[in-house]
Amino acid sequence: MKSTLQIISKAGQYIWLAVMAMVLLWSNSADAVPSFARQTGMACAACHTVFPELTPFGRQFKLNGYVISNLKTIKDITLNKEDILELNAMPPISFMFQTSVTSTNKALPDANIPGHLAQDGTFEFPQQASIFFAGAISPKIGAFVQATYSSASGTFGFDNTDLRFADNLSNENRDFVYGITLNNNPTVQDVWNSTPAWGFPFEGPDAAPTPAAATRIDGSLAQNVGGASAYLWWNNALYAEAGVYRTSPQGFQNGTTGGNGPIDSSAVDPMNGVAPYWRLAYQAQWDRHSLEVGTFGLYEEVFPTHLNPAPLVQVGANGPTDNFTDVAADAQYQFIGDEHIFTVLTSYIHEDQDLHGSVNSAIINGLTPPNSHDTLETFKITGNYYYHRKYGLSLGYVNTWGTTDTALYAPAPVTGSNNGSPDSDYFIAQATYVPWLNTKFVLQYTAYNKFNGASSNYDGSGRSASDNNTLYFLGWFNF
Amino acid sequence: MNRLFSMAVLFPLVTTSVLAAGPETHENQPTTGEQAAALTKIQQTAPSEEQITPELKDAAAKLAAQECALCHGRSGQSISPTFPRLAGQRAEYIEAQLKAFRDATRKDPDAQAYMWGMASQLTDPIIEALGHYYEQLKPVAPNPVDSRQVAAGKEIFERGIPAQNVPACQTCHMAQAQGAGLFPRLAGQHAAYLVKQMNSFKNGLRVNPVMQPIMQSFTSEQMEQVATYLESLP
Repeated sequence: MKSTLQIISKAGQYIWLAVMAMVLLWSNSADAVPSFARQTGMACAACHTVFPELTPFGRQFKLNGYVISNLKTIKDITLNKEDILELNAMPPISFMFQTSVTSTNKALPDANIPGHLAQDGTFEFPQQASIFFAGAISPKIGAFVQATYSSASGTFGFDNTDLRFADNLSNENRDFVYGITLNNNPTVQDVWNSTPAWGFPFEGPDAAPTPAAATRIDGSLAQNVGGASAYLWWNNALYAEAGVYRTSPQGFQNGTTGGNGPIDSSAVDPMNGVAPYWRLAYQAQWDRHSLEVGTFGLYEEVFPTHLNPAPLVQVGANGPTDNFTDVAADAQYQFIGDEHIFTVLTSYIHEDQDLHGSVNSAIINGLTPPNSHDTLETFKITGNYYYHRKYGLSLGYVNTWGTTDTALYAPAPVTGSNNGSPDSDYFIAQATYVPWLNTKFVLQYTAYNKFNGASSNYDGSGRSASDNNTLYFLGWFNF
Repeated sequence: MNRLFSMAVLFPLVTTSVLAAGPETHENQPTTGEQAAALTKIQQTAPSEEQITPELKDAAAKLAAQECALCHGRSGQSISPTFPRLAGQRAEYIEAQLKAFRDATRKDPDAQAYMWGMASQLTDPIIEALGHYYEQLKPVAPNPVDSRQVAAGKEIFERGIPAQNVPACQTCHMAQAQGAGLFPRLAGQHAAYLVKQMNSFKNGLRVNPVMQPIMQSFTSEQMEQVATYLESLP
């Protein structure tokens, strides 16, 4: 009996390790880059209201492949007048430095001394520091490549990356751009801030608890996959994109080859084959307003290897999979005036979870199986207001709810759920000060109404949702 | 040099014509002989369309459709008033502005944020070709507007504000605000863009010996009136 409990407890630890790893990766949000300003000679304000939120021109710049350049270039040409090189004379490099202070309403338990609380107030210097290569690498190919040192992981790794080819076939009668993007985070290639990768909150703590449940497309795959998709951008109005993703974990080593492949069940939750991704959006612009409504989604089959690490009986990357279907609707409204800027971002993500892979793994190992079928929903809405691009106020609301599943959401101090419910809802209020367009100070307060299923004693260890309310101060520098 | 010369010639002309005409200036008053001569001189010094090679014309059309259009709209019809409409704009004016952006001598905020970069690598021939490209585009006629605001703006545009020593705008910008030579077309332009430019002249962000003194006495209300009238013009 005792050994079964130990196994369950150990499996639980792995689950939460995996979840926390995902959350850490997910919190790697970023960025606007001075590289683009250096390349185009245009101020940040051309592409961003306040970074990282894009203006209509910023969306155009990205969809055109980051290649619009007003730099001197190094060129080569053949005798047939075919261009074979057009390289920025100056490499489009820039840096980002984020430093933060995080304080939760009630300190977290001390990991070393049971029954004691840790010291509250986490100072990170840096929270993240990044180097970017962002700009044109040839007339029709551009790159946004970010490598980030994260204080939480203590490592330097690849962050959001988007390499793209784009061709502009616009003429006097039509506006038409098509392209191909290679990227490592579903929606990182998107140009509206109502989708997960560049959505609100644009910045947040990595030192405070965050709700356990998140849909797959909402950051769970970020920087752990690679994908290619093709897109069309028609008459500045219609955007259509389709592509596939494939697991591409960082730091993974296959035990057989000693190298980084092939991806087997020793990688955490590898995909079966590829995951199709799609996106459709319509944008209307009038006067200083722009409005986008769209939909996006992903279908993914996953081998739930995190459930049965050795010495449990392992099912491997040939067994049954968990299948996730994410379907989302989003909308964005922007008003960009000279004095006032106002944005509303909203999205609704529905996830269908067919968990027969997890059920199979659990039964083989005598663990409590999850439900064979769950759903998870996330609704987000945010309003951002900026005065002269200098002073900002934001208010966001996030609500996640879904099927109660005591195996998926098990009790654990701080990170667990006592009642097996994934439900969380919270407000984020934020004041932003932008003394220079490339520097931002943020004071953010997150207030939880419900955390992992309940308002009080949500984790089974007596912690209340409001104990996780977080005060966060961030200094964000791009240069 | 050309621009400075024309400003130097026209500024006294404008002032004298206003003082002479007084409050009873007729609508569609024809330009004086001296003014016409000055305008002709400006137009003569600008490159004629025939001097632009077909290759340059194609390059300009492509640049306009694939880069300029991202803000200024397809066929020079921008949506946001942050960006001026360029269809039908005077070639000489576009040329002068692009060179002023390239040389960082036009210093209003949006010029710095957007155009200093975009114009930095443009050569004189492509600038000239872009000017002619936009001039030949047909502006889209706005819906007619009839309001007290428009009527007041029309009054200022056609007769000036004698009490404030403001000359009639049409003296240089022509009766239908179609512009001439270095004097830009204002008809159909975004009102908010025009107001921003008037303020930029007033506070010295845009340096221009004709417009700066004229705008000094303009009130915000008068700017709104004349801009609303101009946007309503086909």
